[in-house]
Amino acid sequence: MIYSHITEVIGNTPLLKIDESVHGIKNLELYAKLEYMNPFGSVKDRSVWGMLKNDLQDIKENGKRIVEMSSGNTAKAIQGIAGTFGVDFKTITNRIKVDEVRDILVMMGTEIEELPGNSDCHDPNDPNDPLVYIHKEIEKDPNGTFFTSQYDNQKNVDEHYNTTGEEILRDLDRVDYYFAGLGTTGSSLGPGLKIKERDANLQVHGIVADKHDYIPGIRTIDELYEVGLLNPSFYQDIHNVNSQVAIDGMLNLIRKSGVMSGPTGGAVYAAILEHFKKNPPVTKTKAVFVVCDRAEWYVSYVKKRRPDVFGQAVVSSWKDDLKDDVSVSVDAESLNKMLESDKDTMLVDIRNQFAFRASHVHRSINLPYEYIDDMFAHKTNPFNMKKPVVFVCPIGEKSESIAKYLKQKGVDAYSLESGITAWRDAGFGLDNSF
Amino acid sequence: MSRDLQVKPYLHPFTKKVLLSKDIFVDCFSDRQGSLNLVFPQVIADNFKKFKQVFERFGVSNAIHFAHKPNKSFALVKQLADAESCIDVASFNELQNALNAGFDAKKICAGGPKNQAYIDLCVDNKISMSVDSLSELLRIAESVSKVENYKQIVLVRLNVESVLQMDKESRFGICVQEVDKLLEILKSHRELFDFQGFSFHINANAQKLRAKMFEKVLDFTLMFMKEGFNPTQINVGGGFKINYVENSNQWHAYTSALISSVIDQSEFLGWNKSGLGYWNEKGALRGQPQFGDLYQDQSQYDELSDFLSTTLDKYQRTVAEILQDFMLTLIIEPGRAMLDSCGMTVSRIIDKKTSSIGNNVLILDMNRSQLGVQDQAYMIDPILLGNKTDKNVYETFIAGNLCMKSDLIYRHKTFLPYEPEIGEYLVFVNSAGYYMDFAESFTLQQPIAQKYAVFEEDGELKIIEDNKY
Repeated sequence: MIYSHITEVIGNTPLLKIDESVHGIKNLELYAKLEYMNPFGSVKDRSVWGMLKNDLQDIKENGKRIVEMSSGNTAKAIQGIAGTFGVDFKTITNRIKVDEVRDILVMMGTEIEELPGNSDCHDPNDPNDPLVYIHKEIEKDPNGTFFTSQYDNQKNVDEHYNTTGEEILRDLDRVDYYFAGLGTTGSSLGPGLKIKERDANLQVHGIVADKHDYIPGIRTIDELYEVGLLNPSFYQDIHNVNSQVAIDGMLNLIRKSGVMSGPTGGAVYAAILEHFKKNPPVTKTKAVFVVCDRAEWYVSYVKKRRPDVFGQAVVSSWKDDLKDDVSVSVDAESLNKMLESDKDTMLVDIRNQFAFRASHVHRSINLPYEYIDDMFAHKTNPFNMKKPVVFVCPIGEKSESIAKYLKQKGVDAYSLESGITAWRDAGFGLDNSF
Repeated sequence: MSRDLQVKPYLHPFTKKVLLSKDIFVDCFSDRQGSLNLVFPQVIADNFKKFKQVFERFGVSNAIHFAHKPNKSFALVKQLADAESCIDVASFNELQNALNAGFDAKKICAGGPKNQAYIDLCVDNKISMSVDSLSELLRIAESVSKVENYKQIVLVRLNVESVLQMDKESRFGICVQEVDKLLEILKSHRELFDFQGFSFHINANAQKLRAKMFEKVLDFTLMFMKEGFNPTQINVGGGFKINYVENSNQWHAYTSALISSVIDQSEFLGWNKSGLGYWNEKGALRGQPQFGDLYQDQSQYDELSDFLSTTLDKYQRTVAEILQDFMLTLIIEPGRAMLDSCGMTVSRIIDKKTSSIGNNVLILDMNRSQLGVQDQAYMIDPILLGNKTDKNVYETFIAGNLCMKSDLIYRHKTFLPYEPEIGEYLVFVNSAGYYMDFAESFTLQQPIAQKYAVFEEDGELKIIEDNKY
């Protein structure tokens, strides 16, 4: 199929049936709306296109810049679309919590302003609050700025009403349940309203993050109140999910259904299973849920919370075969003598370059630990087999491992006992190379 | 009333022990003395040890300075002196207290705004100083120049808001644009000062700024190394959070109920239908709570450990590795975190009333100044020492013994396990950090709480006046 602009690829996402043998709940016909199949990888592509499509011409002609408060999918979608129109975009946000998300935005060309604010929720009393800050930015250049304002832009809800909701109605003859994570609430409110027009008994369920926890893209119940968007009566129930459960749900979707969902989709899936386990459907029940974005940019998020997932793949290290009885230590006094008498001794400082620049033992060269570690991991020995080499680190631990490894390989290697700190404390001078 | 929004406090084993032996402190009450503060020196020594162990695990050169500020106790300070802790003082009298408790001059650092007497006391005792402004540095120079053969150890406090370019007003420490001038002063006074490095302090609710600020301060430290100085320390201050509650669900239920009361404008939990800092603006929640987050899923020790394991972008090494690489000593200044579970406040109910809109009010023989400061309300439930068997939750506010409408000890409704009687004792646990005596005042000439140290000796709890410990 041929498309002439990337925005044409937005929407019309697949509705994937999750088999009963996979989800395990009798009488439940469960469908995943694969919003991660949107071109920029999330449900936000729709919201953003909805908020921008009628204004892009004006934005471009008047040289305006788009600003938004987003640290994730919304920013990605705005940047993706703005880029094709040659329009600049700046996102103003508190510290982005997931590294890959920041890196992807930078790669896409987004200007990111990270504020050192205390909280990730809106706080009108805090001058570093993104929303307060955005309003100040707008004041500076009211005619040159276009604020998409995803949290209170009705077009966000409308777009979901007109597209997401419409697609689900088209694909299914009846919907009993609709589950979605609550962020701006656009993707639950819009389709929910639309489906209810036909299926009046539709139950809409919202999923929020546990207080004190963090699931990218969805909020805690308190944060929702703070945003002022939540209409609790619209939802049959609001489910709390913690990040561990969300990750379990995400891995379940990925491993059993091949759905490359991020943690938010996982949270929603987990909440559905929990809900129907407690309330088993007696008659045939049709439920739809939103898989709002992709797994790939949450690797570090999962790694941090579930190191066990990655622990299964431990690679063997050069440090595994170090023998305890190999002696490589040389104290500061002896090293000093060695340096005086033997001009061939090579001294290698493995601290970081900035520390090396500030102070180091006379005659030493700098080869930071990371490089050596990497070379050893690849079984490379960069040192001369015929000349003595002494390693210097801060406290004599890492240098000892390196020296032992080399000594076992036949190099005349030593480690400065108790590190450069001992050298300094013994009163031997230090050079710098500022 | 059907609601039960109890927020039970976390009880440290030592606190439990003291609560079970109430006779030893109840005897300290008199007709005229309606409240008292108990401090637990052995617990603070233990907390100190736990911080120390974190550093040892990372092999990082360190100094743990107890920030004296949140508690005036002599006993706690004495115990720390014996444990070879360091201490950070912020006034003439705090310095005096530390010296009297036996602190070695080398283990004291003097911060805070300084008048001449305070500067002189530091210089006389060779106490290192944390300098808050350039003009203060010049005043110190003047005093130091009068002493022969003496170099004053100084650390210079940097203004976090200025260094991190935050749009927030703050008056502590020197700003970025003053750093060149600092360099000039230190260069022209090399014979007077031994410049040891920079310090900064972040607020308890801004932990994530600590590593960011550390990285910037490291830049300044390098800049001064380059200029021929020999800074050996970075002081990252305190701001380590502690957990006050037994069960996070209870605390979350309470704050959610508070927020709902503001949204729905019913079933208020704040006095006079207030939202305790929150308000309702066209259906949306606005404002900031007048209390800190009492539940922390991470201990102060894990918070330190997290900080030390943070990888810095510029170096691609952790804070601990960087400290080792640069041979720098990390100083922390925990106050509240060191005082965790180190004391409690006990008082007596002198009256029970009903407010004009029908709320219960307990009146205690103590006042608001004896339990905290305005923006950091004490929110965990008091412990009742009576033993009533009829257990119906009792919803009440708690007021003090001042004839002032502002004297509410609990501006929030608390849910007691039963209705207590006049004369019954109430305990506010874990009050040592900032609550028990930080703001205490002699207003209306009501007595302030007397302070006692409770300690264990030969398997038995003993009590002694705080200043005699």
